[in-house]
Amino acid sequence: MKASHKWLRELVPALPNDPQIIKQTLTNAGLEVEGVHRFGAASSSCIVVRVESFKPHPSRSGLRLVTVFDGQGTREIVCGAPNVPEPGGLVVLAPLGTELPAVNLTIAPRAIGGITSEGMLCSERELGLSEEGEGILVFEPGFAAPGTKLSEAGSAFDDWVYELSVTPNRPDALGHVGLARELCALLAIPFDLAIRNAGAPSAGGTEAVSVRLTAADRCDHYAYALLSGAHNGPSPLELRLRLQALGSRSISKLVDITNEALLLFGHPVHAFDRRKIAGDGIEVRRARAGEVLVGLDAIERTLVEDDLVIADAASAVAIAGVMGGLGSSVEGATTEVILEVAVFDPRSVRRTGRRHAMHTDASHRFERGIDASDTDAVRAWCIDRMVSLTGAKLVGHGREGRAEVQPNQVTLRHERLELLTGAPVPWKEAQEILARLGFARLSGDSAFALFMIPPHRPDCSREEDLIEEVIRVRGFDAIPAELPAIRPAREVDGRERFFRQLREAAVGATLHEACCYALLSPEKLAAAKAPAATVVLQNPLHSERSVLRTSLLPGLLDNVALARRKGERDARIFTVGRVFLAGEGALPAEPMRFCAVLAGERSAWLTKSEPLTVWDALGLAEGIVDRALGLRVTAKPANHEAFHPRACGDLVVGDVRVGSFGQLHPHVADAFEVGRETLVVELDVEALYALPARNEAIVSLPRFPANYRDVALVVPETVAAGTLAAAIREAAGSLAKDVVLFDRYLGASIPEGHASLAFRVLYRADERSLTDAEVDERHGAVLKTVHERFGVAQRA
Amino acid sequence: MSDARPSEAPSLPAALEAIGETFPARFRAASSEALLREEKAKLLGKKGDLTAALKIMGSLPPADRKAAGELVNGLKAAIEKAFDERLGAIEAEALAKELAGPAYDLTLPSRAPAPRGHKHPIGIVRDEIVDIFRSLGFAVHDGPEVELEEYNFTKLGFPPDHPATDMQDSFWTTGGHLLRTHTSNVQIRAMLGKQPPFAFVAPGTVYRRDDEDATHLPQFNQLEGFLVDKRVSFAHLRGVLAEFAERLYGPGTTIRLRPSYFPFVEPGAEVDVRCVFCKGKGCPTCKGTGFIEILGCGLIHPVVFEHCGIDPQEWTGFAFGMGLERIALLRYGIEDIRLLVENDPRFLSQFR
Ligand SMILES: [Zn+2]
Repeated sequence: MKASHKWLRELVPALPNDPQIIKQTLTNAGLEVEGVHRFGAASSSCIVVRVESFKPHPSRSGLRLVTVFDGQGTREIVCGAPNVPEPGGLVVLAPLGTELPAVNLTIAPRAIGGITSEGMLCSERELGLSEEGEGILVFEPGFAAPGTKLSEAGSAFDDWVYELSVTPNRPDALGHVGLARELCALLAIPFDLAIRNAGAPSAGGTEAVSVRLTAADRCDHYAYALLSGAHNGPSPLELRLRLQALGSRSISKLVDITNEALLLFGHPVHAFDRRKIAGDGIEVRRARAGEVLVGLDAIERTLVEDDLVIADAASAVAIAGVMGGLGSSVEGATTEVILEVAVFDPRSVRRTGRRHAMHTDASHRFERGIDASDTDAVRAWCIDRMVSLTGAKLVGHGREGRAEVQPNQVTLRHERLELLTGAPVPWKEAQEILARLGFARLSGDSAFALFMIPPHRPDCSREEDLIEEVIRVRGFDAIPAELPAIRPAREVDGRERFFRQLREAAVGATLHEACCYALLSPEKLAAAKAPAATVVLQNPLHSERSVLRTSLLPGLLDNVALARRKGERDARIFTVGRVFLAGEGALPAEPMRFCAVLAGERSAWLTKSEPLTVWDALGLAEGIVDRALGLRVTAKPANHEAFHPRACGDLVVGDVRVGSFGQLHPHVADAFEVGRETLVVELDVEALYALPARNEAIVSLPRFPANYRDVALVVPETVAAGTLAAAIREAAGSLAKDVVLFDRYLGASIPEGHASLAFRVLYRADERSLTDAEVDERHGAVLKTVHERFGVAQRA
Repeated sequence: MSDARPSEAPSLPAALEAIGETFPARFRAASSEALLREEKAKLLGKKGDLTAALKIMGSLPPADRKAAGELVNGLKAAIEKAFDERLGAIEAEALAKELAGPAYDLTLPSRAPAPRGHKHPIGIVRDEIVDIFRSLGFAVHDGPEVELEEYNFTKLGFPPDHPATDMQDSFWTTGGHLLRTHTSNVQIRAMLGKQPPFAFVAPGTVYRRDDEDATHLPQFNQLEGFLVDKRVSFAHLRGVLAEFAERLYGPGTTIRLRPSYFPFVEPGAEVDVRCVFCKGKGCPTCKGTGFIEILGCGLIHPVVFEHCGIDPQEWTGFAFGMGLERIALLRYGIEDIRLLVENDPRFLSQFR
């Protein structure tokens, strides 16, 4: 919403003339002024001059030398405009040194074809008054004395324009009358506008049209006026510039007057060309399914029954409250007018506007709710304006539907006001504030008062609304800060803390935390071999973000690929977030997951970096689960589509699967354009969270020394080290406290397809020292077992 | 010399005398511990000179053996002593040499046990804010990201077909639900069918149909907070937010409230903190105003209580919500919000 400083002060001359005061006052009351712009900034340095004579430029075709009189003397100006008026005509001169911010120009002496111009004759565009740049601005003789500053030649040539961000609850602030009323309330200035008080025309002809309100739930109030003999045509300069300043394009007198009314009252009105209306009646009805209407924007729309239209005897002529039809529109030649001042149901207007992707100045106001009590005043103002600007005559008027709006009444309790404020509020002051805002006090005493809600405040309907008004106008600074005694709540569950432990464990395990899009494309999910999406958007911004993820992996891989394209190949990132899967009720399940991706190499100190291996991923998973939960996670062979079939495992704690890890499948790596050695750890956070708490009791320290024995075995590579270790542990019995693989060797001295594995077995008894003989005997059993079970002997 | 035969051997005293005369020089000549030990082995080892000499002792008449034995033991002790002294000297020399060597090249890259990881800026800010509110007595409450329209809009007092929903353009699912446009749905989730008091904060991801650009993402993070109890007032809201601002931005940070509109609060306000960069004087970050908008708040609208089965005459409360991206962008001077979702390791590694 744009508002004119001058217009506000025309309505209420007592308003302060300082735009900054207006801006602060409105902003502090919740009507945020986002900016104040100068309109016609050059007007105060340009002057009106009279054309004395002109002749062609001696050397440049198309240019003329214009001699102008500036009130004191003559100057010679080089001018290229096609519309320099005959001598006696008035034009606008920007003298040397003038700044023209609209075209980013400062007038400097400059020789054009050997002749130096003493300034520039300006167009409206150059003056920042409109987009009109075809020719220079020309006034009729007598408009102003030569030498008059443009800003003093008329009130429309400069102004301050407020850019307001009006919240949807305040439709009253979408017109100058409403803003003036608000300012008066805030600044304690009496507000009584004569134009607001006009009633129905007391005279004005006997012609009538019949109005039928067939959809009374959508429109129960329709007033009209009939005007005849209008001379439509371009609007006078002042009106054109006022609309221009407020961002509205000037069309013709009649149309401009309807736009002016909208900006003044915040109440949209519409003018039809009466000659284009078939029959002698108007019906406000629901559209017929499939009914077609071409709007003023020349777009043809097919309507549905939920749309409300204005129709003549033949067809729809306007979409009610949104846009007029092209076929019934006012043109330059229009002389007969039907002026519509009606009230349409906000929800209906909004649904129609959204359905047909139409958002107009009219629908913007109707969908927020307009002041239904002002139809007489708006109509009277429009009639006056049309009569005086176009010479039309009022030949008839009428209305259909309810005349009086029944106002709401609300009780305000002083005690409730102070309770919600949290501080004393003088009762008299509170009532005065409401009175200034237009809330009439009907009755009351020292504890309560009954107020009537004014019709321009459809947002107010209950006590809290009145309390908000009092608090808002008094200002928040009047409320002290007081820390409440909060009764501490319990966590609904400890998940946030748990997520944080996990994140911090991952950070401790050298990973960077990432924050990924949950919105992605079905193709990305498929490329990462993730389950198909269960949450699909009806109205995505674009196909790349059209479903919610079922896996965290594609998001991270996208990040790794992007960094790789930007030259960073090493990535160690993780994210903790929700995935969206089929749920049991109406909504999807949103379990929490953890995913980490390692790409690049493991750096070594001053020597060649080593490629990352699947054991790096396993180590990472172990470290994170250990740091977060103090639990030991182990690997189990597994097969998952996203992972390399040779390098993939599940992560288990006890017998509970808590995740998986592996090297990315080459197909997936290639699809995302990441390196093939990319590694992944996925953790099911919900499964981890559900694990029974770790036994926190400590284990006593050993009291007796340990004995170590080594065993090195050459085995086929198909024999898993873990299997051997388990066999060794079993054979070594309860005295073996630990079995550790400490060397793995494949090389020249080992047969093809075999590996040499060396284990160290730690023997210890809890209650005594073991003798060497005892340990040797146990270890002998170990050697015998591995020989028998795996057909291998201890390596020399 | 180890193979000397007794018949040709010199007399024992002579042999010992010869050893006694030569070993100090031999030890002195040994320039390293290894050489020294080698020399010692040549004297005292299994095949050493002294050992060889001892073998002669067996052939001596018993009467001479005792004197010879003392001679041998004396010599042995002298050798050990000289060895220890020389060894000490060699070690001291080696240490002195090592200490006097050239300094290590400390410009070589360090050798960290492992590169450290970093939290995401949104994670840092969220953790910090959650901790502040926890310490004030609030607890964390969770809510779904795919939500019923009823919980995201209707029960929060958004009128049907009302432009208030334009403030939050929604993504709708083919199932007829929506991606929550704010964490305020958690108010409904926490209050519906339950009785106050409530004191919760709810951090979480929200979605709005905004095109991605330098200042917008269609997916971002909010933190909602609300307190419901008997006689909760606007002064209490102000008190909690003032305390929060001072804890997040440092002592002395002041806040400013401006009336605003959110359908689920009344009165509603926007909260600005005094600019932490210019201390209120005005700078590019605060666009010269000296204040930075960080959150929206208000008293919970009675209609929200009614929709949740709570009597608004008995209970009152306040709610507030803030965008975590905005707070993080300001804190770290990040000029393009898209960096937050690109997750370039070189970006991520800059945060604590
Ligand atoms: Zn600043």
